[in-house]
Amino acid sequence: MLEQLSHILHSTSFISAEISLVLGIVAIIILIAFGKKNSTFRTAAWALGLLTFIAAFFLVATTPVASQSIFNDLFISDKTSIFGKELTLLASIGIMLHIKVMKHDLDGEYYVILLAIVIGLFFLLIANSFISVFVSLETVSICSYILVAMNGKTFNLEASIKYLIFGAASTAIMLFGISFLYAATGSLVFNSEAYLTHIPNNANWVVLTAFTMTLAGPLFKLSAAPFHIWAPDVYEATPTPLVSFLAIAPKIGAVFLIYKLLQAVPVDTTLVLGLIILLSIVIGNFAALSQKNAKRMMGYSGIAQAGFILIGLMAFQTSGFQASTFYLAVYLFMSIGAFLMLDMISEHTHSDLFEDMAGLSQKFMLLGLIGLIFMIALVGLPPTSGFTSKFLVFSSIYEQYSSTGKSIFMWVLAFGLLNTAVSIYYYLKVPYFMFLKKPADTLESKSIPPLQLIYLSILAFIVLGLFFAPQWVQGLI
Amino acid sequence: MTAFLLSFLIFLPLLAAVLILFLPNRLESLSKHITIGISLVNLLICIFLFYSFDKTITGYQFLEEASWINLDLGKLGVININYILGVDGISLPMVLLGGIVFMAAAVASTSIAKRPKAYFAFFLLLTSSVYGCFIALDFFLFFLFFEFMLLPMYFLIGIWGGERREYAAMKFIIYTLVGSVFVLIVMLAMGLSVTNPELSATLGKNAFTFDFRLLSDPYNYVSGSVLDANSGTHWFGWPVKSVLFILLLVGFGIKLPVVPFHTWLPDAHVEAPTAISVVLAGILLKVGGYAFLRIGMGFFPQEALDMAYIIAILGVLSIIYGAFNALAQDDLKKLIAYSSVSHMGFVFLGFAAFNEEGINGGIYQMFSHGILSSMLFLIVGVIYDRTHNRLIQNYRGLASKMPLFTGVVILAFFGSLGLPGISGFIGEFFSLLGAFKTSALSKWIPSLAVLGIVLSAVYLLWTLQRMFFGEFWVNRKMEEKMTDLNTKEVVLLFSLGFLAILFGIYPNLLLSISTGAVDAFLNK
Repeated sequence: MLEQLSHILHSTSFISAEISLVLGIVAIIILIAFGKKNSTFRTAAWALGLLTFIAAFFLVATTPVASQSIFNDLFISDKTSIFGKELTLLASIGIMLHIKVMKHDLDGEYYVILLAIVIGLFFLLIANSFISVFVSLETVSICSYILVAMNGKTFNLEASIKYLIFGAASTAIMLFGISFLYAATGSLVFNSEAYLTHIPNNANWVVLTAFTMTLAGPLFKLSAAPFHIWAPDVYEATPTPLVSFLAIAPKIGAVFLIYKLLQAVPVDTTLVLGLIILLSIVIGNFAALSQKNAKRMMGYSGIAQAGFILIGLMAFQTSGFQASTFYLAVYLFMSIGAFLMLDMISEHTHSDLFEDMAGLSQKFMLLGLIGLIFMIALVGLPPTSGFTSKFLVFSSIYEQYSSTGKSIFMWVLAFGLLNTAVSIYYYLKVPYFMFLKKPADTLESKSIPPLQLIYLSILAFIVLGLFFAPQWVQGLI
Repeated sequence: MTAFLLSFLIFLPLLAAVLILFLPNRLESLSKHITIGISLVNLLICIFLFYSFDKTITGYQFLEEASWINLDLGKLGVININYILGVDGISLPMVLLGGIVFMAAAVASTSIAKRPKAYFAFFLLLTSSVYGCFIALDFFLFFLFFEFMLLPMYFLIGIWGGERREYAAMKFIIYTLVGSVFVLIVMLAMGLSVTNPELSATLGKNAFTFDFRLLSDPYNYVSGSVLDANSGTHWFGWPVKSVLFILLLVGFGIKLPVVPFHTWLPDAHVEAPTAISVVLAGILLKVGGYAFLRIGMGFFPQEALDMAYIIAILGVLSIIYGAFNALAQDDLKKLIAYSSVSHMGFVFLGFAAFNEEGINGGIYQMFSHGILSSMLFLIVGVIYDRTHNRLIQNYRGLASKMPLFTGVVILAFFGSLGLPGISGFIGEFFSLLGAFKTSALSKWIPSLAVLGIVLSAVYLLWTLQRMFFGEFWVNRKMEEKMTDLNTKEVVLLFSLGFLAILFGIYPNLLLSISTGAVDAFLNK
């Protein structure tokens, strides 16, 4: 008993960041419960949320990097999970700043949900058993449903119902897969003796099937095919900063989780992942081509980007995972920047349609140029880190191809590269309309607040800077 | 003094572009002067390089090296990307041509009235990346410039172009991006198969490199990698090196362009403003030829020899098909664009010969075509500026109204059709000489190419006769607009014309520089 208690006490020291997030939630809830419904209190709630994130960041950064099993092997804290947490917090802080510079006056409840999602992601990052994986993933999912539905507009309800139904289905499939793995090994902990001894005793296809079903959960979070159907609708209907959050934070958790699952199943998963990647890239890309709404386009292109992120995981090895995490880190800044830019544009045009962006660059030269930087980064052209990240994932898969000679790697490589060329068509729509089209007469002549431009420029600078000095991120992984 | 000259070529335009972007609107007119100033400084640097180039050394000169990116791939090794610049006898003519063409284009751009700040900023970005392509000696760095060229070009065509400019810009960027993707595959395969032997020894693991000087030496291939001669890896049933070579052939072939990958070019040319057409024909297409020689044939000499027929047939196909297409055009600019395709075919033909005459001829043809096509597009610009109409049948007997102009046109046209004494002849002559001399090709291939010369004489002289001779007549009451050349046009066309004649009667200026490098290239 005493031993148990001391183990728990010792374990809590490794989840100080999570505890600080819970305290932040409590503080905001108290503020909401006893405060008034005016913008001062909303700002206070926002400030509390941001402070919590920053505090959590410092707590994460000071966590010992040595691998440590905590809470009876339910969780494991190591260097990888710490890096994942740092990325998640970077994304969260980025979104919080986005909310502020764009003067979105969100209710305090939103920050509670955001914090709750981050808690779920944190536990997902350190999860070491299928149970903790499932519970934390569901925390993230359920909070995301609420986040999307909270707007209360009818249109939003449609998106959130779609989100909920597909989420529930993918969760069910994942649970089914987990139950297979449990039945096959008699243990839920990835690195337990029982699990490790029993998993090789099963036929490969059994394990592979179970693994593929288990993937459903993280793939849904990644918005990768075939669990991508919710993405465009949700992207279109949700307020931009929240989309920006949903477009990046759950992806981080999902990538790290897939990496864990890959380590937990000793079978060759390249074919499954390869098919998922090909599907995601092709579906996302070709559906994005015909979009007229910029946020919907980002939804579809996010599906394709998810495919690119998975490429590094398919080349299952340390360098591949590093390539994927580098991709994630770069994608974080690109995605936040791109959504911030779209938000700034819709502030002036009151719509998310491409055609309403016509001629904006003539009034806002800098906005147009930075928009161009983000879009070519998303395509993956030099001199942006979008190129470096694609270069790395393709290098890792090429390396795999040359050492194993499996043709699926070659197909993914060829398709990925050619789809890069396809993607330029829809990503360039943004600068195309801003630069090449004539401005409409209805354009209001408001000026852009300098704070927004400064924040956007910083993001753009990071996206460019990581091309010239990728070691900034590389050292952390 | 000469330490950072090459970096200046890249960074001066880059800094100037940034400077122009931040100019206040009331100083907008300054952007034009800045651009001309920078182009002039770059031209002077190019001339200086040209004169201080040591012809007795065959390697790269004016080298600059700096460590740039080191990516640790864990147990795989390290990827080493360096910032290396240098020129040799193959790239120096191209750099000089760049200086000439950008100077001409900068002067020709002075009439731009629509959003000049943005125009000149993009123009300078383009300048910077084109120079970068010719002097980068690291594959990654080269690719950066090669890819970055597309963006400014996209906007320059898309914003300042003609009627269907958006379509042309999109077509241009998608076509050339697909080409870049092929090059990227080769870059990945090469970079991850070649190591820097000294560095690998000190690090104790593979140090992958993109350095041109190491890539061109098969001794640096990692044993067991796909490029290793003994690995015997096949892709899609072909040996890896052949596949990579074909990818380069297509990738750079799109850029050059060779038939059947040329369809973006007429569209881009017809829509682009005059100055941008000059840049496009004068120097941008040469990146394709130069890169194919340096990377395609330099890194895969055996494959280039094996596929000499394919390269030569692509070249001849371009010559003939381009010429026939030019014959059929009624829009003067489209005619010139197709004649570009036709004349660039000689570059591939010369390269395919894989002997000294052929490769020298190819390089000379690129240089001469750069000057002559700049002239031709400026000539189209002269007519278009006056009447905003380029249809050949709308003009007749211009010679009587515009004698100066007609003189220049005759010079440019005869230069293009290969009149001895003008630079075009030298390039075509040596390319054909090489192609006839080599044992790699049968004689009917260059014989067909000679037919292309005849065809080019036909369409050029026919155009000359239709537009300039006979009774003066202009469609739609535009007689009073048909004035002779103004000062700007005189300066541009006459100086280019002078260069065309200079390099026509004194080819040794250029050949003495390229011969040493080509020798070294062939006897590796």
